[in-house]
Amino acid sequence: MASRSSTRRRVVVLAASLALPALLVFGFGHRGQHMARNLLVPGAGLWEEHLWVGLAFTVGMVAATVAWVRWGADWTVAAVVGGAVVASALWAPGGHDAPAAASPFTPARAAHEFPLVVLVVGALSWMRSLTARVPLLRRLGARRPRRVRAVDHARAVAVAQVAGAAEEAAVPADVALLARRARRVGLAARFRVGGDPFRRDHAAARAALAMAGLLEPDGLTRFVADADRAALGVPCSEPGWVRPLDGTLAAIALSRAGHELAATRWKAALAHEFGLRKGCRAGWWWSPLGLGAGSMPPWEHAVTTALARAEGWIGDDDWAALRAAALGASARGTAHPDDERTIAAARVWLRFVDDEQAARLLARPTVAHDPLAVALDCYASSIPVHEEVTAR
Amino acid sequence: MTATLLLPTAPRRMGPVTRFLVLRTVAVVLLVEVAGSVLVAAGGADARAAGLSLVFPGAGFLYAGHPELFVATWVLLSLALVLWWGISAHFGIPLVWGLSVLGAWLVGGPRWHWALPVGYVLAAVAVGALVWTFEARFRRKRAKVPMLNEYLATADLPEPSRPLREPDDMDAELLRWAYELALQPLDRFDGFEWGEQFHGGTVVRYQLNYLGWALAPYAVNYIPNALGQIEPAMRNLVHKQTDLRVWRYWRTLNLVGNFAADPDPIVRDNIMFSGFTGDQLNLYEAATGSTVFDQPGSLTFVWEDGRTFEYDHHSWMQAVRRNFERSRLGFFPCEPGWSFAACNTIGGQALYGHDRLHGTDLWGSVAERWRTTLEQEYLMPDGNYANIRSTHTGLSWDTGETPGGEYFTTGTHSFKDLAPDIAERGRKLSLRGVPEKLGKLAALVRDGDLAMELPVEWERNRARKTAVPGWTKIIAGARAVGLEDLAAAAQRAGDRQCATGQVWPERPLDVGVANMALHMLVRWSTPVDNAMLNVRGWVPPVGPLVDADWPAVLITLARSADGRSLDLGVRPGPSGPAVDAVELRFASLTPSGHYRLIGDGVAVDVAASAEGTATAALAVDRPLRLALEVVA
Repeated sequence: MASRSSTRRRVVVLAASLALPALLVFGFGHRGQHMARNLLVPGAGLWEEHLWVGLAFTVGMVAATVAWVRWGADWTVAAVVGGAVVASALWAPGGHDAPAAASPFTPARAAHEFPLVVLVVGALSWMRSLTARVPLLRRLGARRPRRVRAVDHARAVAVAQVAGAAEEAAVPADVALLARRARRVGLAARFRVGGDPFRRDHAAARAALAMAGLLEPDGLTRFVADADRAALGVPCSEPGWVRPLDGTLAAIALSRAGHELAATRWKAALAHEFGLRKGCRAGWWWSPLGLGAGSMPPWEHAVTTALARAEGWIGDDDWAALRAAALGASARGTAHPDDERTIAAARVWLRFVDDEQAARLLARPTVAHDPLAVALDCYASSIPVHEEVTAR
Repeated sequence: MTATLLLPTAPRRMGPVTRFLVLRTVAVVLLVEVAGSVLVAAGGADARAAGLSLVFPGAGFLYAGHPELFVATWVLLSLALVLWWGISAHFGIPLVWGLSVLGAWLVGGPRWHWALPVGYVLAAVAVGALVWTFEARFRRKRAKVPMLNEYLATADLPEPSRPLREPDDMDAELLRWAYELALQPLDRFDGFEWGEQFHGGTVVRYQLNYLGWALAPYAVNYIPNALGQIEPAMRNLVHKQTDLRVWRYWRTLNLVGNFAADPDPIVRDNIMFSGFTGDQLNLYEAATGSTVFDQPGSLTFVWEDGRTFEYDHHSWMQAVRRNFERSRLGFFPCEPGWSFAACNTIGGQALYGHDRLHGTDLWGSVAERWRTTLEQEYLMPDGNYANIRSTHTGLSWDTGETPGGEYFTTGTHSFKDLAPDIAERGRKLSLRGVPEKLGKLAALVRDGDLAMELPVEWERNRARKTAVPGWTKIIAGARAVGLEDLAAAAQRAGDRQCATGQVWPERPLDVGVANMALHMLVRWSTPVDNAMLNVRGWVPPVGPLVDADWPAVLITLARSADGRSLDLGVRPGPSGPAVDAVELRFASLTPSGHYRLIGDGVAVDVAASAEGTATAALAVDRPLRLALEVVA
């Protein structure tokens, strides 16, 4: 579970979030109001008099949020917010003639970046789900990406290692690809230059390399140390962010390296921080404040929980939540990697749950394209059918 | 000889249900005309424009001095007509008409008062043209009745030929192609032709239907004693019907035509899917004896959101029957609002076949009404049946799918199983003059060779030009009038002209998948055709059984004439000539009996076990025509 230090940090941030706007408003008057608006929506304090500058900060905030969510570059958010506040301090007027200037200021009640993060991430998720529903956009979005992302490559390698996949189904680790990404993320998020690119974070890549025997001995030592230090027992995926699939892979890798504590702590995280609530599990956990939010897309939920179920870290409750999504994926086929992964993960699940109809339907699609899906499919084939299933 | 069913001597213009639907449509149109006329007579300028558009769509725009909007109205109406037919957009024409009324009301402009009488003249001409077209066609057909009845009473057509054929090289190529197509993974559709899935020559469901229909007579006529390869192929063709890409179209049609978002493709309408595939199911069971689709949930459709619609052979047929019973017209729709005689005949075949296989009475409960609908609502005076009728308006016209929009017989069995007397009448009418015509063609056959080529014509999907459908018609026609020499010669000539030498996923004949399957159906429907199979049901084979592994070996012939020996034809499968010997597995032999496998340089002794089984190792490096004979 999250440490007390996370709780303390949350309290401090909350207090600061409440205090800072008040300080700005009462300390700087009308200018302070403009400055304070930027704490909620960066750029909002500049829209009235410097619309384009304000919009630039707002758009910049969206970009910074994306960079933060994807690569852990949290400093970008602080920079944009800080920059917008300073810009308002410099350019916002001392007062207005229009009656609108006298509108009351409503202080933010929560950590101010998070509503925007939730807003942006929610908007991105909504747009993604919209493209899945509108026929033309669905066709455009269903095209396979030309290159496999480094993160997905790492995951595929890791799962293939978990599966003990035969040579023809194994995914050879592209260490250079993984290292390149790790260096870029390290530089963008934490200004890390030189040295071992895998010294911190990068849970998926380190899990893959560890299980493939490609981590140096001191690399493995740092992996274990990083996990011990971490709040949830596994390193972050990107600086600050714990993602459940990568965390699961890291826990499996550490467990197989003899570090059972990671598995124990991760199992607890799957019950609490990433617990199943109303059919969903949190999509990410930000370690500095110990806050989780969002929900995993169906494929990630299926893959994460399939692996966890195979390790015995969770029960069968997720299958009820995943079943419809898995069947829907089987109907859509394997044209899209997300569906292919969902199908393959569901096949892992079906080694443990007695669902004859789903087994029949999910046996039909041919999993042969996405490396992560193929590795999962091999894994499913290698798992003996659970005794409760064979008893039917 | 039983007297042939004659045509009604005093035919009615419309059946009772059609009359009701047409009169209802007329009443609605009359109401619209009256409402329009009231507005024209009593309204102001804007109301007059709107009223005139009610009298004749878009005429109000003429009154308002906007002829371009009148033209635009009729362009949109034409599009609405196409969409009405194409995707059951029944609201299209009323919507455009209504918009022309509203638009005429709103648009300003000069008042062309001459448009007032013109609007009424146009309305009268339109109605008159419709009535004239219908009445003229009716009278033209009615005038032929005495002559046609005379013909029906006296014509003595030759019996069709039903030879027991030996499969030739092209039969083997077609069979191999069909197996490779069907036995690929269930979610793969390599070799099928894809296009829009609503109508026409590119819909995959019809390709699956036709292939299933074609393999059924091959199983019965050529390899009844070796079902091990053809059964999974036919089974897979049924399973592929449950692939979302094949039936997804229905959700759109149901939404547009019935305003219902239910994607279930069986529960309502859609007889082009439920009836056709139901018939395919029957023939699969009748040809192979398999009951795999009788198991609950064996045919499950899964929608994109994971919802499942579970069916099996029984519940599927129950749904078809319920639709028949619910239908006001007696024939239920393919696309919402459109009922086809062909599709409802195939739907009837599906119910009939299920009854024969399972001892139920599904067909019995709808047969009488089906026949009444056919003879009263669809039959024309000259013995043709209308292809289509709107279940909303009662109207029917030539949609271009069949020549003239009518036919003497329909379904895939030409009524032979559902209504033999109607089948006989239709057969006589459709073959009128054919023996003489084909007799002239038969005279061109020299030593079994027909030295001619047919012109190539566009396929329905306009993807290519081909002569195969023309050859198919000649083969079918020749067999239908007993000219087997012509049929055989035409088959060879067609193979010669249209063979490509290609293998799956390409095609061995230069034709699309659907037409190639129909060619296979005609080619292989002798001596037993699918109508006879539907009536007969499953009959276990007699004599020795044989099996061999696919794709190493292709079994092209396995039948027993005497219940003791076995005629056998094998050749290399797609994996090429076997380097090593392949295993032929025999069953249903006389326990501990002695046999010899001979032919084409092969002489192998086969000793049956106490259970009546045996194996023989054989190098199948070329086509082999063999016989398994009992050693005395």
